[in-house]
Amino acid sequence: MGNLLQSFGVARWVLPAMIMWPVFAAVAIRVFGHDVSRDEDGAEAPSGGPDARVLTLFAMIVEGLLGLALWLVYTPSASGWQASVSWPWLSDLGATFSLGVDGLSLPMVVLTAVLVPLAFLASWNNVRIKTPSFGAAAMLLTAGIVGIFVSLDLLLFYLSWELMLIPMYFLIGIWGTGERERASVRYVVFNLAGSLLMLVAIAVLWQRGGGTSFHIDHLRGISLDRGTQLLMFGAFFLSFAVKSALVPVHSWLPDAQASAPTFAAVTIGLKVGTYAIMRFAIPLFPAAVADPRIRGTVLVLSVVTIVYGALLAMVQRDLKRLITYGSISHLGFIMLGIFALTDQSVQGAVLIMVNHGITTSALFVLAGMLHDRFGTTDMDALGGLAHHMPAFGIVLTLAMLSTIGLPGTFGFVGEFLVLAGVFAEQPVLAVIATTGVIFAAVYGLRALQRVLFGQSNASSTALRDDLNSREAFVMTAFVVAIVWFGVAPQALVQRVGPAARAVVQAAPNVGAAQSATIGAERP
Amino acid sequence: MMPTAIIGQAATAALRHPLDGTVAEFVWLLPLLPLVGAIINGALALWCTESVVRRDRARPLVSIVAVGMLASAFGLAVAMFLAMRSQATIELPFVRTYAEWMPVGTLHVAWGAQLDQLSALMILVVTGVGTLIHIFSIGYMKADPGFARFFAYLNLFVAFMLVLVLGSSYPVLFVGWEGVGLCSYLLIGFWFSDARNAEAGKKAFVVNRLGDFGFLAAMFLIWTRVHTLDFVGAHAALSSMSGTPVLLAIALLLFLGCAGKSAQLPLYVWLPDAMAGPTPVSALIHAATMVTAGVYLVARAAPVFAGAPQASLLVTAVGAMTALFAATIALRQWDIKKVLAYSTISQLGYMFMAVGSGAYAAGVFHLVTHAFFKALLFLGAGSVIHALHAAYHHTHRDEDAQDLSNMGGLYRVMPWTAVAMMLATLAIVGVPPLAGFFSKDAILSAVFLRAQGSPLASSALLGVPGRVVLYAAYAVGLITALLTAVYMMRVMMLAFFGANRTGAAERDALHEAPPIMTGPVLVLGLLTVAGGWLNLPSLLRLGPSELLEHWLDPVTGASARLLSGAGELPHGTESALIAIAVGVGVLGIAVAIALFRRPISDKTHAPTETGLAALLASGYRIDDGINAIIVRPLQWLAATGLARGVDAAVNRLFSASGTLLGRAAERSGDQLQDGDVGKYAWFVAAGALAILAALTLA
Amino acid sequence: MIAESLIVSAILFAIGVIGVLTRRNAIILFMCVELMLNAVNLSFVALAKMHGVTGHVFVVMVMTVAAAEAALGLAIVISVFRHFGTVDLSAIRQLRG
Repeated sequence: MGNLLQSFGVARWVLPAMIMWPVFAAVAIRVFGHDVSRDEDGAEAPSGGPDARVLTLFAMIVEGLLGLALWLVYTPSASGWQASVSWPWLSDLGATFSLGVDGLSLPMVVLTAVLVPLAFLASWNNVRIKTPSFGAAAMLLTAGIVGIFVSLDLLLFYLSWELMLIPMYFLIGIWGTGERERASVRYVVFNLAGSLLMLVAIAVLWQRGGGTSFHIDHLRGISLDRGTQLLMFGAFFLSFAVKSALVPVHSWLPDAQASAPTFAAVTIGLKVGTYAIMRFAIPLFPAAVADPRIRGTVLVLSVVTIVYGALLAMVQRDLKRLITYGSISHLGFIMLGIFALTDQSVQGAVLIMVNHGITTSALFVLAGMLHDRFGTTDMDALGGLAHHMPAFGIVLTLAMLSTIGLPGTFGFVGEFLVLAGVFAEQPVLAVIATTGVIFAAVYGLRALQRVLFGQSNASSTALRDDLNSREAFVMTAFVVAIVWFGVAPQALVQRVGPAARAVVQAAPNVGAAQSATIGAERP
Repeated sequence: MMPTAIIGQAATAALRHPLDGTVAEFVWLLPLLPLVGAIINGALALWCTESVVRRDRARPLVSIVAVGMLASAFGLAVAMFLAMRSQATIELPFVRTYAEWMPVGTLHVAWGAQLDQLSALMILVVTGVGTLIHIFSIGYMKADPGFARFFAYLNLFVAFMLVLVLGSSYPVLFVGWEGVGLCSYLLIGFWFSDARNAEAGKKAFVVNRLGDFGFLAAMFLIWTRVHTLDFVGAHAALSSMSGTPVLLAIALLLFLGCAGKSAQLPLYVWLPDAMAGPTPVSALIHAATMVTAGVYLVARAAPVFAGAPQASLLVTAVGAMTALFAATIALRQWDIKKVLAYSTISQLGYMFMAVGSGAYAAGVFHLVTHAFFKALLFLGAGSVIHALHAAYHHTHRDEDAQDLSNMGGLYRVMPWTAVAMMLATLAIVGVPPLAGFFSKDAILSAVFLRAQGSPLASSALLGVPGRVVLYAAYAVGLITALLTAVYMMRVMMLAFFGANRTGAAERDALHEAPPIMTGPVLVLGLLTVAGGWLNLPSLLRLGPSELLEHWLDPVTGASARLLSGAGELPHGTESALIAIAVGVGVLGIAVAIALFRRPISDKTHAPTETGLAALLASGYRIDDGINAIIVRPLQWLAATGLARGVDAAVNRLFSASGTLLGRAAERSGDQLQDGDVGKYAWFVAAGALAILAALTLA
Repeated sequence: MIAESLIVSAILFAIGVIGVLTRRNAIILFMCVELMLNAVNLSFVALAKMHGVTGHVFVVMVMTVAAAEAALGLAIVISVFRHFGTVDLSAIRQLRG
């Protein structure tokens, strides 16, 4: 299959296509799509043109297929950029339209492309107004996220980074629930404030590199003194930390994710921040990463994030907020894995990022289904649903178990690798981080108990239909992924491995020593 | 450093194993059979949601699938056992690796199964007792709307239990370890409409997670030291680190996991609450199999514990303390299942005493016999509860079917159950020639032997000489034996003898359980009688002696000898020990008969409990203590300290700075942008001039 | 000759700027803007003598745009008058933030 696609030259155009198709589709959906109006019974009355939702779904499926094609043409064992293109763009500045993937970005890009249609399908009835605009915003958002993952040009990356904000602002502000205006404004202000310093740092970096190129490979070759590296690392890291919602700059996330519509909540969960750290912050400023104070600070913050997120998740009333705080706790594991800089921990961090895109997305989709049925995700208003919605119960239980890190689910694999890797480097931090596993059981089972078990609440007796076939289809995909990657993650491990090792080796003072001792032991 | 593990693996691969090409090659099928059963029954459970008609139609199929899968697994296990028996000696475990799981850098974790004498014994117990309990459950759960769901969970449990005992590395064992915890969670909360049941399930899972934290940390420590997690490789490498602090740390962390899973002090608190599940679940999971996983793990990791004598002493000490502690609580429980639960904790304590003092075979022997007689006791209790429940249901009275004060004189209506339970009671008390007598005696004499002189006795635990610890453990074991006799005989007296207190109207509705329930109980009764044959003491000279000891020798023999030396008790001493143990048991029975012969009237116990009795009835108020010391402060920290404190403060900080910025912008905006176009034009002109000036001057 | 033309052009432009900045009547403002445009036109024409016909092209272009702008601008002024009843810009403050 991969060879067949290769012979069509897929690798030469698939990445630009994955960015341009959604942009094109966004315009087309906004222009040609129509709201399908409903009468009082909810029956659909045909109106003047094609249903914007159908158009959007079609566009997303095409994007998903492009993602799968990318997965197939990727050569797992090779290192370096694959499917890369470099087109002229702003030649005066030296900026090029350079795209490419390696083992770090491949899983994230493919995950994004496949997740987007699933998330949209799951929120099919969730969006009732202004569907053409919703579709357009969703497609632009997709383009932005894909752009973040595949840009090799720092200016293009920055553009994608900011492009993500605008459609997200509208998605939360228009189609959200609860305090959606406040949440969307906070989202934009936090992330914009975070990324402004990065723009300055990018400009300085460009100027230091002779003002000829923004390409990552070129910028990595510049030799910078340690002080400059520290400053610029700080600027980059601040932006990425805000986007990842590291404690203490996390407080935009619970608001945004809890009031976002399902589709937006799922896409916020895609770990662009931690990806950018691995792609840009560590390779560009190795001396800063090797600095024990910086590394120590980040490691401690990560552990704090793990415990803090888990403790707060324990006391949430709202299911969505609980999931969000749980995901903040997982973010701590990712950061910990990245900055421990061992083969296992970095690899584990990438696996948690992918798992997060599957497991937490599944949870948000399930929470969205509850919202569709009962108009609330307040756990006090729910309860006893396992009686009438057994299939829903099974899926929620499985997804929650993956969050808890039960072995045999995807959640376990990443956490195990991160903790194993960190244990080799920082045993004390690893032990504290492992307590997060206990707290995770507390908040995860508490959620299951409040939603599924006990007596049904009066308010939740109305519409307790089990999953319909559309929802069942989406959830089956999630369930298969959670179990499959939990039992057999080799396909991922094989592809992530070389890139993870490259990240470890990028920070020589830390990584080299470690790789030297461990690398020698096994051929 | 070239880890020895790799050399070890290479050597194993090169050698031909005696079991190559035999039925043992199908070891992968063992967990798969019940897993398939679980999937089929799960699908059936979904299919018959909210449809009584479908539920009735699915019931026979569900029973056939569930029991059929278990019985086939048992057949396979027997075949493997026979294949192993037919070989003269099997020194090395039979290991099969099927697929890579997490191969990252130097970390190689693979899906692999390991069949050796220990796991062969365990799969026999798990599938054998499991099959019997499945059959019993068909009768017990007949009227339950969640029939299919129940068997799906139960099959899933057996699948995970088999993964646990067959896994060839710590991570694979951990899959089963947490998997059985999950099934336990689901089954404790099986009747989830009552929030208390779900709460009990959650408690079990979370307390187990505390232990699993230790297990995880132990795995990481093993990996960082020897770079492999396979049993064969890791144990070979670790045994060369004997006596080092690292090995001690690994052993202690592993034991934390064992204490959680096997309900030892201080992590036992979940097991009494776990009785909220259906009674067959208590029999299978919380008596016969899952809770003994900790004992299994200590035996499995025997090379680790043998290399860390302090840890072994700690295991013995904790086991002894737990045995006594739980036995005292069992004295004053009125819920029949609670008595049995505390009794299980106490008996698990015995097993840990054994494996801690290096008597691995004795510990595993007690594990097996305990599986027989405790499963029997639980199933018997299930029959009683079933009968009382049906009677109260018949008269629509809302009474507790598990309360001993509602029973009495049941031997008249339930003769078979009464006889079988009496047998099991005598077995747990240690009356010869029942299985429990032999296994308990094996443990007590092994501890005594080690106390008299062994490497273990010459080491020390926190400054206390090992000799003292072991003698104390022996004494505690004897006292516990006395208490065991008292509380078990109390249950028998209250439940089966004296006058019936169920109620005048209900008395006629009481009936013996159907054959599908009494059948498995009687089979377990047979095993309870005959189980001692597994490991007869050599003293008795009744046919082949110490079968189990010899059987397990390739797995645990070396470690056992490392801890216990080569001494043997003189026959005179051994006979004396046996006489003392039996005497204590008989004394206990006599005490219980004397105390509880007097017929009690209805509900006399509740208000009269004071002082020590009340303290015992409440389980030393440990739950309250834990709530006050750990749970509530943590909740306060999370809810008040973090959610309403720190998180809100961080939130306000950012909001406030945002608001301040906004206000400043607003105020300046008010003055600059007042809508006067003329003013705007001035700004434009001034700006243009400034740019012009800048360009000209530059 | 060029110098004189440029000086006249500068004076005309300055008159236009001062007019825009000081007057409040929309029509006068508008005329001042036209004056500025024509001042620039004048300098274009003058410089075209030195630099070739490009200057003439710009002038024609500016005149075309100015004509269109005049039509649009006057229309806006009329509708402003209809709406507010005045063309005094200091009285119209709808742009306040």
